[in-house]
Amino acid sequence: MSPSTIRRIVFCFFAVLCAYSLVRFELNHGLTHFIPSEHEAELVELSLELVQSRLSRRMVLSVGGAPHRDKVAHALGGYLASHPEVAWVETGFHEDRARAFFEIYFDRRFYLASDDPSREIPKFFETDELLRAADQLKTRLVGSPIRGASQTASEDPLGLFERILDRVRQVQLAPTGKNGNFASDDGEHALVFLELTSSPFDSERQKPLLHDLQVEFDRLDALYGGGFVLEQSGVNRISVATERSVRSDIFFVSTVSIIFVCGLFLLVYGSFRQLAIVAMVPAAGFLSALAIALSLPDTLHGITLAFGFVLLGVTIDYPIHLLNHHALRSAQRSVTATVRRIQPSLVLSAATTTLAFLSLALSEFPGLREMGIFAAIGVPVALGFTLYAVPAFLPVEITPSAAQEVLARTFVRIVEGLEAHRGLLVGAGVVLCLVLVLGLPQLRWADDPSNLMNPDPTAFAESERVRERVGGFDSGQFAVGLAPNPQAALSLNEEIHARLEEARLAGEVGGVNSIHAFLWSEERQLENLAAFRQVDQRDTRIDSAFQSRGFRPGAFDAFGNDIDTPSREPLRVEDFENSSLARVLDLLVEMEDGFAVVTHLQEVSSPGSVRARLSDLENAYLIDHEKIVADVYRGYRESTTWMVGLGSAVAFCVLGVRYRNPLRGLLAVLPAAVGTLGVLGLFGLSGHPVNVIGAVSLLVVLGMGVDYGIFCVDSVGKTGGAVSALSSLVISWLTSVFVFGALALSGQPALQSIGLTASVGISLSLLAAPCVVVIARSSLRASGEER
Amino acid sequence: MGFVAAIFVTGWAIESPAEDTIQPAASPTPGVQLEWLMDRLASRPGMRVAFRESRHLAVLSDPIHSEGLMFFSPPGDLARYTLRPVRSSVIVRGDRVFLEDATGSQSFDLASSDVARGLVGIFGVLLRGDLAELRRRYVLDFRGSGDSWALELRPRSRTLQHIIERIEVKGRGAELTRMATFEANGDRTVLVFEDAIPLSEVEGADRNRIFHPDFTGSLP
Repeated sequence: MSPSTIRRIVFCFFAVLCAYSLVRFELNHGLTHFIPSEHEAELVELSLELVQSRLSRRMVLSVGGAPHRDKVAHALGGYLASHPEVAWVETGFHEDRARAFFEIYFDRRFYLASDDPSREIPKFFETDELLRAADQLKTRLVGSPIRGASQTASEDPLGLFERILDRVRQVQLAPTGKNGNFASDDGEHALVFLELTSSPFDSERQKPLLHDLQVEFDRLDALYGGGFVLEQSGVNRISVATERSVRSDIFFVSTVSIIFVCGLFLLVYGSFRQLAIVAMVPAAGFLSALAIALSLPDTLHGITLAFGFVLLGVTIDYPIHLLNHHALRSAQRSVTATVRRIQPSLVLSAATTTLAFLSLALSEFPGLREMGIFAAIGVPVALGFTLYAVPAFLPVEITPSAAQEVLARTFVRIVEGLEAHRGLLVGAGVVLCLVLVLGLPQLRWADDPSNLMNPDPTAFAESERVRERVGGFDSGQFAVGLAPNPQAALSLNEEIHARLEEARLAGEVGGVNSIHAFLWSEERQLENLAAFRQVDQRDTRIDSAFQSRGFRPGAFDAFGNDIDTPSREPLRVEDFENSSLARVLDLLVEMEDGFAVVTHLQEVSSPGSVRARLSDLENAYLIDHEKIVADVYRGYRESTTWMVGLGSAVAFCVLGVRYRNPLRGLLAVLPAAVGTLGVLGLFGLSGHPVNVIGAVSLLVVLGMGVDYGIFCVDSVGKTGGAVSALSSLVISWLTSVFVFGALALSGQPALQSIGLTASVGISLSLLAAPCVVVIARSSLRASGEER
Repeated sequence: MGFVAAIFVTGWAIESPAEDTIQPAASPTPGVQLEWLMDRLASRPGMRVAFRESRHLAVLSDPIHSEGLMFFSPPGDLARYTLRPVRSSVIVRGDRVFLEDATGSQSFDLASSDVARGLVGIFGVLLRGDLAELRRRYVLDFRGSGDSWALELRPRSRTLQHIIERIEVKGRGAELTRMATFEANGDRTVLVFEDAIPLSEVEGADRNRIFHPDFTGSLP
């Protein structure tokens, strides 16, 4: 096949794969992809749904400054209520909610009187309690007439409706001031709560909302005389600000990488054409793996895509080897001849890397399995591209550049120097051993996901100030009960609530926000009604006690009649639907095969004790979202680290079989081992923690290290082979270090982690490469095989 | 308990002021006309008046008596301070109503509820002489005889009819002397006003303080 035909096929290949991938492109972003057990996955999914979908969509606005801040906050709330990106907004406990509350609860007051009806309701009718209730009612009647206490007095002498109100007041979003608006404890800030309709991470939607919000505030500030201060707390705001900072980081990193890599290729090869040819190989591998992954029934995960791209970065070595070996060839030969000469090493390198990455497919984490398969598809494609497509793009005649010749000469001297001073090898080995022995035991693992990103400091500080004013239930800690239907969930929740109340009274929990404040199971409600009905001489007792406080005999007959013949059925889930109290149902979440009833907790000081209180309840759990995600990350990181070990073992076995010589097999994996273990040892010594992203980056070090080892071992015994191989490795290393090293300069810990782990690990692998050559040569000489 | 607050209100009445404080206009003959009365009310400045209230509640054997001061400033600001036997306050400022008594404080939006607007807002409408608004909300029956007159208001709103049966306002000349509210449940509240003087003549009457929901000092 002629080179021009191959070039046309390559262009078509890229065009078809790009078009196909664009059409099929769909990503999954769920963290459950990185959780081994299905049961755990369900809880984590719920945790994520609550924290990421609901709580993360909440925003709190704080208006301080000038005296009319309530008006500005109220007007701002009114504006936002009609904004398409706002699901709901609340500025206080106002008329519509009060009306809905009265309509839903007043006629059902006997159903929701007591958590412990058989014990507590008979006590309501003891003489002392009735006299106290009579005094309280009279205080309400004597108070402001406009309150309307007289309207409900005859139907509710015991103040049952007030009890329900008190219960609900305890779980309000924030305290309300005299005007009914939400306010900070010190009264200096009016508060507005809202929920977003879109994901807070969707910056395309959040930016216009935040802009509109600011414009409206500025208008209101001017309208009410100025001097107001708007502060905001919300994931969306931090996310948009952080994204801005990440974008600028990525722009910086990309610019630095591109400048250095272009400079490098210009220096070494004297043209950008080689850069394009080299970049084509990992791109082909990536696009092929992407197209196949997109054809599979399961949606490709975003993390697989990102790390797959990084993993396939190892294949950039293949065309570099080809270019360099061809340029530094000792005799006049064609590109095809150079390909034939290095083909065994390339194939072995690609096969070892593929098998090493395939070991990820044994992981119990679906995300790691997917990543392993993704890389195992991409690497062979990249190899095939290097062997069959790249030669068609290379010029017939390539001469080594001055830089290549300098590199080659330098390596000749380095290898000769090392051969002359074997003590250096021993010294390097001792230093490595010391680093491993001293560093590995001190290695720290960091699994807290919050450490992977650096939020914008200004937006974060503002958000924290607002959160302090609210003191709400947004800590990500909650209790969950799972049940097959809503009634069973509410029954379970009654048990959960009783235990959490005990925990609150014991100081183990600062606050409890449960649907229990609003809705009980029908069974519990009917128990309440039955308890009222069972009270002996109920109406007579009320009459007797209340008459002594100036009430008329028979004034409360309506109360007794309502108990005997209630006008309403017990309160049910559907009674909240389409009412302004519908958000109560946010705490009862429909799952795939049942319902989850959720209690948000505030300031859990003793999670172990709370967990113990729930331990005897089947399907009741205490969930700490941050801990769950940290556990997921830790499991993922541990599995990845094991897979690196397994991949190294697989590589060693393959190489042992290939070389039929354990020493050469060992030498071929030495750079990979030095790179992966050395970087962990150095991190241990320096106190730099390793996170999940760093662990995955070790796979890149493994892949490139094995390549280095194979080329070094294979080059020994071939004329000029070691020089070509080592100078190829330096170019490959420089390319990698420029790309990954630039990532290490990022302000974002996640990018920094990839950059630091990969660049340090690959550098250590490179340092091991000349040692491999020297030891392999000695071994060859000893066995008299050198040609 | 905002909704309950909004659906209930008692009547207030104003007794005629002393001759030497507010000069009544010459009353027309043969009797006071509603339009004339409303014109006179509309032309009045703000005022302060003492009140005595008797609440006859179906659940209580004896009525509850209380007394205090009421302030009005056109077009619609009202402040009612009950001083005995228990302190409480009702402030209507713009579209907000603020309540405070021994059981706590609360507020609600006058515009957010038909009932609230029909009951609480009616005092502002009446005292500023807004006849059109009064007719829109109530069926009126006005009877004048010489210097005296009586106005009966029956709510047009069905929601309001469940709470209030009728309100009877009585007066002499351009002054309101008595207001009785008859509730649908049989409760009845009667307010009698006395010692009315223009707000401008009340010593130390700072409008911003009197009509402020946080006002706690001694009343002027």
